[in-house]
Amino acid sequence: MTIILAQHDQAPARTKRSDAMNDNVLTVEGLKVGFRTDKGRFSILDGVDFTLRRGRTLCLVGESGCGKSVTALSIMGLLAENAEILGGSARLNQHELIGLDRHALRRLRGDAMAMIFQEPMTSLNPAFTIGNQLIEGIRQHSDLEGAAAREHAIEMLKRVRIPAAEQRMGEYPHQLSGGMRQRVMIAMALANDPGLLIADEPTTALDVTIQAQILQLIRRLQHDSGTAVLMITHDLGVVAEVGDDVAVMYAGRIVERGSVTALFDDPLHPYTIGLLSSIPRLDDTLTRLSTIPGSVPTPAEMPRGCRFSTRCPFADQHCREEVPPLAAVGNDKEHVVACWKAPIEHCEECSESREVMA
Amino acid sequence: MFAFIFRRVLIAVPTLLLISLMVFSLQLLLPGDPALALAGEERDPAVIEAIREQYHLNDPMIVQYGHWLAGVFTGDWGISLRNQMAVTDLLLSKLPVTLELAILAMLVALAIGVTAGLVSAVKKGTRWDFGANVIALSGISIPNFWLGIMLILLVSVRWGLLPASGYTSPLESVSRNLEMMVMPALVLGTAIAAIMMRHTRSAMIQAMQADYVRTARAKGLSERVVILKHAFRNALVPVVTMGTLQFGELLSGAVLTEQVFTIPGFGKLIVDAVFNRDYAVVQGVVLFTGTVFIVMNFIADLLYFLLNPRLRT
Repeated sequence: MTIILAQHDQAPARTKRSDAMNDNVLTVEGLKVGFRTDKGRFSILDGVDFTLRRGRTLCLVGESGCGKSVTALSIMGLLAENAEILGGSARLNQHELIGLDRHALRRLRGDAMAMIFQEPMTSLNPAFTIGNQLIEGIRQHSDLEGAAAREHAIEMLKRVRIPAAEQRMGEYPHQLSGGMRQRVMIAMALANDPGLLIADEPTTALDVTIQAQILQLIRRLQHDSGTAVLMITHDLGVVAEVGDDVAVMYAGRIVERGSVTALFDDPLHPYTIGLLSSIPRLDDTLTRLSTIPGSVPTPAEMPRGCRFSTRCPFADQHCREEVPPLAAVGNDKEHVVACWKAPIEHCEECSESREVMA
Repeated sequence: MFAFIFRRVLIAVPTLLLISLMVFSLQLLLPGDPALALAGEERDPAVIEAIREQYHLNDPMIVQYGHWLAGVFTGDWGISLRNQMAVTDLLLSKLPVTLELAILAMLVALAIGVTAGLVSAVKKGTRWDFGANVIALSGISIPNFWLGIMLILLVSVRWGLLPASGYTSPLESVSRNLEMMVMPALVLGTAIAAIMMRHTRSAMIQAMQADYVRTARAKGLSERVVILKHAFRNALVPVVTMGTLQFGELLSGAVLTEQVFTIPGFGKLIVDAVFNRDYAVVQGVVLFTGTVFIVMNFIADLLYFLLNPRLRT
């Protein structure tokens, strides 16, 4: 058993994980995605850029509909039929994923890259046992057969801390709680030791007490295996808990990107500032919880320039006309922001609006 | 599991009694006097009265029902007024014919209906889907007897490929039996195929949108496995349930189709019995097919239960 596992752990690791030369597991550049609907074509992603290094966790943060999940599904090649990738690139260990034929993409899915989803209650097939669904994925991408595949599946269940793993193999998803099912999903995703794990709001549907357990589990497994994690969330608490880096998305664009500490300590984009100040604080019962006024513009009425300009207290004509590039404004070259006014502390004409924000 | 079966059986009993009451009451609705029909050319009131006495036709209705029900339970379903055969024997002699026709028709229905439903669901919105839907709509809209007559005209009369009508027992000649069964099975099967296609299609479309299908794709499984294993296994529940109910309907006898192809099954038996005011046979056929239908309903429930791990465990 241990021999099989050891082989399985090491052999693909060398090929699947990035070379020592280049630590970038995932590089996304200028990714553009559109949707075809009855009312016409709409842009959903408009030039998304980020890189994810081995063993690191990048959090993609933003409100519903900002394009977080579409970004993930584009990388996995699992976009809905009415969506199309209009441009850009996504490279997994230097291999281009965009435009890859579906057979090649299928060989990578579940092997070099894996994904877990928001809804553990519906993400497992109700008609098959846990064991069946685990073994199926293992056999798809490895030479393990029969008892060896089963052993590996049980080992995976143990690794995600599922008690009575062997017994669980024969059970159906409905016999497990939501947290247990999400553990099974994680076991399934990590069964073939992927270099990239995409987690799309993996804790949103779970109880608060279970959320922390699942996040810790992902963190620990990542530490053991060196898997890079792309964590999609709308919860800044999750970002603080597991993130190394964070990219804030708004209406299909990344508006700010940097290390978690840099972003939390010194948020540069007005949207990020708004997000951070809308977190409720237990030690502050006096001030009213701040919210960002207005709502995300619909794809049909998207402004030409900065997409946040319709809600931004600092926006002027220039903001509405020209798209601000992602650029570093301070000493930290990794901390970039797409805002003409950033840093707002130094922006003279912004002083009045700053009062409003504070 | 056993509690479930017990409950279902418990519900079936009053349903069956209700059927028997309705079946018995049927004869009140039939016009004409059976004693007169039985007497034939004889018009002597004494003879007719004797016939009435012999068949309890003078007793109050409730007593007649009691007689009849007691007989039903003891295997005495009465004697055909027309040819003096026991109704049970008559039913048993027709059962293999209707059973064979039902099985063949069901095979046709499943082969065409499920395949077409799968294809049109997977290729939703394409020409394949459109074509399958047009064929399904035709299948539902075209009356069986018309399709039967058209087939006879073309295949038998014009091309002389298959016998137009009649029945040969498979014990005599299997090939001759199949030759005669092909067209009626096709006529009955295509109508049900249309229904099966619609059900398979909608169940598959729903299943293909499920989260677990996305999970299966994320695992890198081939599209064939995603469709045939993950989606179809979940779409199977409504398809099997519907199929079982349709099979029950087939077993009740296909009146028009059997008439068109002169196949001596339940359908033809009941038509002949009604025309001859042969009450005992009419009651026998309706009671039997009603029971079969309830049994098939029960089996459908059972299959639904067995195919659903959430209910089973």
